[in-house]
Amino acid sequence: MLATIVFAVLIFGAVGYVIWSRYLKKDRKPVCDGCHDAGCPLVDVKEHKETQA
Amino acid sequence: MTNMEFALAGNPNSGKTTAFNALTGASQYVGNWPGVTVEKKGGYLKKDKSIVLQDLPGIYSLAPYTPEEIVARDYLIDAHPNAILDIVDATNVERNLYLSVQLMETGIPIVVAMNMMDVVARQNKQFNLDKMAYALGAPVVGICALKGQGLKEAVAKTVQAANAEEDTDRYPRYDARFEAAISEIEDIICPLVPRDRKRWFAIKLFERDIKVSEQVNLTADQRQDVEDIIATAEKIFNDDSESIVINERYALVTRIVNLAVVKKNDFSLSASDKIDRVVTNRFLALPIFAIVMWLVYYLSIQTVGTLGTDWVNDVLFGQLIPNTITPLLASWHVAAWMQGLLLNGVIGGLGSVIGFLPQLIVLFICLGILEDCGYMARIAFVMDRLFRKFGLSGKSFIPMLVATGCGVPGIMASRTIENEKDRHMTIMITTFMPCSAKLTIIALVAGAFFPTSSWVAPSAYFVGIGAIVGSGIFLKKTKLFAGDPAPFIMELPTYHIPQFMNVSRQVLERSKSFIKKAGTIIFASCVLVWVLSNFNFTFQMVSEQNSMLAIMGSFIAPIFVPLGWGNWRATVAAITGLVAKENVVGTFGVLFSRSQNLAENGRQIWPLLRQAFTPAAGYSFLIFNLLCAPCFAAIGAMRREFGTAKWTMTAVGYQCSLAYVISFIIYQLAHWSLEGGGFTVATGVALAVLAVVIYGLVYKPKRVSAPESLSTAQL
Repeated sequence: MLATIVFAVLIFGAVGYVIWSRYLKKDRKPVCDGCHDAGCPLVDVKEHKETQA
Repeated sequence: MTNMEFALAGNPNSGKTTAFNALTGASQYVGNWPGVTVEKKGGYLKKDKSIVLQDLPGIYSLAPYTPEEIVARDYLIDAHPNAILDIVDATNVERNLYLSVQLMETGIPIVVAMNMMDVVARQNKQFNLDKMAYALGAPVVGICALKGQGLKEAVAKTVQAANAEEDTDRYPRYDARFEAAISEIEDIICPLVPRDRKRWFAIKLFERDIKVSEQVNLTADQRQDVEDIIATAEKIFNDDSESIVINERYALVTRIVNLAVVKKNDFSLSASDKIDRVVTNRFLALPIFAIVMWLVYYLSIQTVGTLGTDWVNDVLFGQLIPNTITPLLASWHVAAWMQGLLLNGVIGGLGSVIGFLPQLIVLFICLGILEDCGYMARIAFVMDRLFRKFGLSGKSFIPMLVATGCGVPGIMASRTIENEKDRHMTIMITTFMPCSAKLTIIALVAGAFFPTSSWVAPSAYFVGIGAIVGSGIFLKKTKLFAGDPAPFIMELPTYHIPQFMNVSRQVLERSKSFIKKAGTIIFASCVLVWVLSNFNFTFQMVSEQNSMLAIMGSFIAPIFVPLGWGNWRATVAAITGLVAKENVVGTFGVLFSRSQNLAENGRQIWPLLRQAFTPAAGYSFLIFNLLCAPCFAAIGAMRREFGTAKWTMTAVGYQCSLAYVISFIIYQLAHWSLEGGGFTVATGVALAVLAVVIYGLVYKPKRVSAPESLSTAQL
């Protein structure tokens, strides 16, 4: 029972975190990680704006 | 604490981003074709964190004609960095120095870094860098950005140049009569512009640069004085002002080149030229491209990549992980539903996606090698010939090349297309190219339905290109996109042996992002799919057929019956693909794992897929998912680039409609002719639709473009 609860908290917590950080959070990362890591211009524009602000 | 800011400037594909990565330790995407850097990108120097390096887009001049030139020029003039590190492609020194001279006109201290000196040596050319520095009036350093050679010295010289006292020698000097005119304009504008930039403003006013004319607040009298000076100069030189400036710059560049370049052998064809005579040959180019892409997909999907995928599927996710986890879960008395979620939802779903990683790695290696050696740049050149016939510019193919990795940067790369109609059309059709996420669907369908056919996987690539060309032909006939294609000038990089670091960095970054995506978005999607396929609307655990997902999927599934895969599982898989295309495979992994109680993936679900669909339906499913709306991230990028929701909806609507029509025709005709299916009403409709599509491609409409948009050739 305890193991089930622990797994449930871990899995659904992780799912909740992914949804929140990728789709709901205000300053969320772009959904495509690859673009972020590989220097997608979208990221740079965003960072540039942040630097200017 | 930032003390200094340097700009990294140069022609497209001269090696700026390679130098930027080497100097800052960043891993910006380096493409062996022009137009990779759309915006400027900043980074701290690895060796000295007090210095910021700005990687500017590749440009040929500081005229405000292209978006890249505007970004670079605005930055240089408005932000006025402490110095410019000008990366010059030494294999094309004349044209590159034309930009160097313009950069010097800004008055910003400049250091010229002659890149690709190793290639120059192989071309039997030599440079006297000291003479070049003397003639140019700026320090010149020989570098090889790929190998990281000479960069340290280049940075040291740039720091030195930035700290040096301002002196008038840093400006290029032209003909005395032209200098006199510039000097007179400088006197007029002196109080109106920053002192250290007055020469640049004076030259731009002489060129009659509209943007600068608007920027400098001249009175009517001053404006008339400037115009008188220009008119006098035009009379003396017997030429228009813009041509006078261009001629003066080229005269200076010629003097520098004559002084500093020693050409040992001018007239022999280089190895690169000899390869190009075959590879870009009018008749051989496309067949060679087809063979190369077939080989790439054959290696990654059919042979080498499959070895790794088999191990991941059969051993790692087939035995090791389930055999370890199942007894552990039982010993911990984990509830049955949680065991189902872990084995079928998480391991089954994620395993089915991660199983394709070895195939993806081989594909990334192949594409990386083709890019880095310079072959893919030739494809844009070859495609320009093909595209131009159908009213598209070869410039549109650059975003499509970028989109083979991910659709988002591909869509962003369309910014470099000046013509708005062409840009909109490119955004709309770029995602037809199969990105790395779609490769999992290609591998799944090819493996499940056509395990012995080597044509299926590469055919997906060519269907993508076919959809682009077909859309180009059709859309150019509509009022929305009618017009002549923009001219496309592209410099072909010299062939070279692919650099291990470049290729491995690309493979590593793409693989890392694939795993990261699997561990986040795909993981969350698999869990949600599992929950929806196991519970009903009152959150009671039920059989799969009575689950929320089955009910929702069954409601939409009839739409896809004419395409041959109108069952709820395939429908749900196609819809979850909107979140991320890998989800198509992950969803099948979860649903089939559960139905057969398999804690496995990949190859184990192939027989189940074969039971559910015929090969024609499987191929139709593949084509629909390749051509329909891309993932949300790409749709978001489209929205940003279009700037309006209306255009985005039009693009998504067009993509989905085209995907539906093509899949419908493929399934109906293949099922009837190859699988012994009867000739039904749907087959007749498919033939009629095919006839309409062909008519749409071949008919010649009355000229729809407005007279003002016609080229001078037509007028």
